[in-house]
Amino acid sequence: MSAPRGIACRDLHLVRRTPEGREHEILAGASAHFDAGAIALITGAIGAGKTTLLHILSTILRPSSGEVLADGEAVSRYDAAHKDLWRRNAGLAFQSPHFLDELSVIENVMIPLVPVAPSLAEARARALAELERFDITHLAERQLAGLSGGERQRITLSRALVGKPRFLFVDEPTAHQDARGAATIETRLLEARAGGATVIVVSHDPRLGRDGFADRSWILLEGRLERAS
Amino acid sequence: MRISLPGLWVWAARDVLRRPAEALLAGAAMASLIAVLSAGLLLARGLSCSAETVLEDAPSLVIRRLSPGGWAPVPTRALEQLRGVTGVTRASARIWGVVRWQEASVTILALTPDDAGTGDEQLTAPGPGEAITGPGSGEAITAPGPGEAITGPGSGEAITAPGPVGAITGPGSGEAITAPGPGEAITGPAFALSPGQTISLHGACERSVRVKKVLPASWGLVAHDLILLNSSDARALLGLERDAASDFAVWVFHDTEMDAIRPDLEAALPFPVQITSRRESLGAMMAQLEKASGLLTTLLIPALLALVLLTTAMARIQLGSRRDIGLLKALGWRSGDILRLHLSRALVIGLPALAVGWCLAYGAVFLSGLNWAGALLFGWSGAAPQLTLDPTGVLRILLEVGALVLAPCLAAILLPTLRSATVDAEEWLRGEES
Repeated sequence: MSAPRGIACRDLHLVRRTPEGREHEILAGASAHFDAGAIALITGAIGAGKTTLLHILSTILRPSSGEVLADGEAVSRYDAAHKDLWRRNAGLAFQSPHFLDELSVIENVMIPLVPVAPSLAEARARALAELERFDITHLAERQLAGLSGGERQRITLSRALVGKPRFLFVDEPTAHQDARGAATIETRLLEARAGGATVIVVSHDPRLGRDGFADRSWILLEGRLERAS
Repeated sequence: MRISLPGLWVWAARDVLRRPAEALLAGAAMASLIAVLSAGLLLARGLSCSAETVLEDAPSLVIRRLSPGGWAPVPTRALEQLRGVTGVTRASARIWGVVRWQEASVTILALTPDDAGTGDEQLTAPGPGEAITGPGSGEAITAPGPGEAITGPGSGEAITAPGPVGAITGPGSGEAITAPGPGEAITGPAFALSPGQTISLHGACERSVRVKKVLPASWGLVAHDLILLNSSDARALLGLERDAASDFAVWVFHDTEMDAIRPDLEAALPFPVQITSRRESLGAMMAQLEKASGLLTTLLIPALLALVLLTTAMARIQLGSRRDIGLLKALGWRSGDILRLHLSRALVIGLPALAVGWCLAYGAVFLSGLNWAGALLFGWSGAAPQLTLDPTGVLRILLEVGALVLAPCLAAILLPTLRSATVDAEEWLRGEES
């Protein structure tokens, strides 16, 4: 029997020590399965640990216990080198966009493709096409400094999508977007889903909860994931 | 998973070009160091190669008479005893020595009767770093023929030209030069003199001679810093009697006999002698050159260290913070990709610098006429001699220098990169959160 495709987490715990020396349990047995070819929306109160959960699902953070499976593979148990390799299948769009400030917009978008694309020209063409989908081609040669939060958000989404990832982890994608920008992002995430990607979106933007954008919604409550729909 | 090295190379080149001033500085520093180091080694190699070429035809053995005060003139009548030693194919007497010109010591050499008993018709050709003269006015000097040579200043040897001679011919040039008459001189290119100038030489007496001709640089080391005089002038300056010479030059049938024949030569002469073989002369010269190139290399160690420091500083700047590395890894770059990127960056700067440095060094040693080196290392004020070089020697030197400079620079780049490339994405994320 083949393993279920998509991302699954089993009994995830994450304990952090506060500056005062107290132990604080951020995740307390979070378990869920996020289907391939579907969008999962995770919501929750501010400080509930949504972003942390997303980092664990994308293998950037190690949980204190529990495991993350991608297409049935326990990727959370991989060593650092294998995790690096696995992340080539993943697209990450952070809540606070992280960039290499020396590079132009298009170069930042190209980053995931540089080690794997047959040529830099092809990487550039794909990055340009991705920027076009987000309607920000005009920013391609600009430096990051001076760009608005909304523009940076779209750039980080372009970078997450440029490699056509099988797993897409998106944190608050519409936080700085107007209605038109939010619609564009929704469309791109739906296209990724249509392409078979497992899309996990963390947000508390009510606009994303409307019109059946997400195939399944989850609430992170007291360190556990609960089905909302 | 396919890895695109060309893509990484282009990316690395773009990275380098983002900081053109730093890249240019590092490239220029590296090229300069490679140029200086290569030039020193090429010069030493060129000199030794030229010396080897010259000494190929040098006499097998040179015999000097020992005296309690050092050296003493040899009586030319002893040539007959030398010629009687089994294995000696030829023996001749040479007149050469060191005199003062201006504030410097210069070597003079004369073509001179090598056998007082047979008259003035047999003349001695120039020795290493010495001079060649015809014995009388209007006489000329012949360049060494097969089996003969004129050797450079380091060896202290010279070769006798056979029989009466009419002209001195430059190596490979075929140009014949008439020997100087009394009161005339032919000078090597190192002295920067012009025909018609008068020079005053000081030895056993003072003698003013007019420069008749300056030998071209194409004569190479053979006669570079020689002053060729008429034998009467040379004898007067060196204080030699008519039946005395500076030393004897001896040729043997087989080079392998050089050592075996020494005792026979010593026994044949009625005075104590020191016998130097061609091999020993070459060895002494090589040792000097190796010492000079070793010294040069030692002097360059601080420069090399400075370059390594510069490279390390550049690597750190280019590497960016651990944050950048962590971000790359979060986006799917592996440690190997990051390592290859930095290696590519280093080579993008290093390879052109290597090529430029090599070209500068080769040009400086073999195309510039070597005047800079002559002035800097040997105190030559005039044109430098042309050097010869074997291609294998050049290749070896270029590879050695490339390795010597590039290896520490690459290490300086790769070691911090290796450390940084092991940054875990989680470590980076924690840094971002804090």
